[in-house]
Amino acid sequence: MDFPEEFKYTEEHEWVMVEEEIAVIGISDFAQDALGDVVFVELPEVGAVLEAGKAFGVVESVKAVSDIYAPISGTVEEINEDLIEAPEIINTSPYVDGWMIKIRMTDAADADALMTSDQYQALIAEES
Amino acid sequence: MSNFNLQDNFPLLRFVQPWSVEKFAGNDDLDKQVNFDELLLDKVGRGEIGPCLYLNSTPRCLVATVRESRMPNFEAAQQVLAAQGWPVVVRCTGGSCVPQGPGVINLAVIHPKVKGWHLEDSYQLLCALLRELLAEYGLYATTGEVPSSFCDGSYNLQVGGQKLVGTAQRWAGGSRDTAAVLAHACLLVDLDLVAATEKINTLYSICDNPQQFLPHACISLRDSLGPRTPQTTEAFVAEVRQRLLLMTKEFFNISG
Repeated sequence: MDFPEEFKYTEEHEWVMVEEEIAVIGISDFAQDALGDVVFVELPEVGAVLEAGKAFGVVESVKAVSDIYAPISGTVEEINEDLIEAPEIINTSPYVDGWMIKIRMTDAADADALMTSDQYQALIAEES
Repeated sequence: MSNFNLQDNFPLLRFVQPWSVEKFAGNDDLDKQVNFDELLLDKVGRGEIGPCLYLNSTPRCLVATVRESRMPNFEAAQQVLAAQGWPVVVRCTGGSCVPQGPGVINLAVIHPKVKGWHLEDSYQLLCALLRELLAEYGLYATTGEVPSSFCDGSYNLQVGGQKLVGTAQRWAGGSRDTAAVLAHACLLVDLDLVAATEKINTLYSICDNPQQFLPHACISLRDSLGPRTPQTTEAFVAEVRQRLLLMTKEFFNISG
């Protein structure tokens, strides 16, 4: 399982990649593996205002439905339209092609509070 | 007392708060009845209530998933089916469309997420409970996919290759301290599977989805038992429900 060092992570199993004021968000390799084959993703509309810790969408797999949570507060700048037609991309490329949304962060410093790759791997070690 | 109990079989599911059986106390709103277990999931996640069970049957309807509700013409299909006496309600627990009604019993198990608990554990819990119930009727059930059955999945319970129980889950909160799990099973006790499957096929046809399902891929408990169930549907469902309630109360050590 892969957990890129340059990303931040949440205890709800999202990853965050910060590019200046924009945060790119998806679900981790651990999450996609636990869910199994993803068959549907519901994402917010561009312009939606997200509050950190609140659910912004759902991901549905052959095994279960799970909420997706906003790691950081901000406004949705872009969603990954490819996932609507091909949600399985999340399984094959969770960190690159399987990104879900890009948000303009309300406060970029919020990302500092998220987990590092090492911290996240310690968390999921408890789950395994 | 049975040797089949929570602590021996699923030791991770030990909580400070005792398990309880929750009841729907709302009005006749079908959507609220169908989605009551999601409300319980929210309450469990927020710590308002402890781990709980919910057994229910609803008036006749189809229950579709959010994914299916995004199919083209879904609202038109809802109108057509409602006019035929099969309203379509949307529920957010995955799987795919299933029939509901007085001849179907749903069992929901809702609890805080514990570390080391996996999706498969919830399915094994549900299947263990329902397999035990079916064993009381002399039926040996196995888990596995049943091709061409509605809401097919790896954790169906089947008898003689025909699906009798379907399962689905919703998880909320990831690995937060407030995370919670809703796992539910749908037991086909006594219903017209030809009519029910035809309505699901109608939904898919109107929504331009080529997938169709076969009624004989599933079987009701009544048909599994043959002539051994002379009661009316109402009496038979009540009897099954009472057995399931007693069995789950014993399993989860629920008094009263």
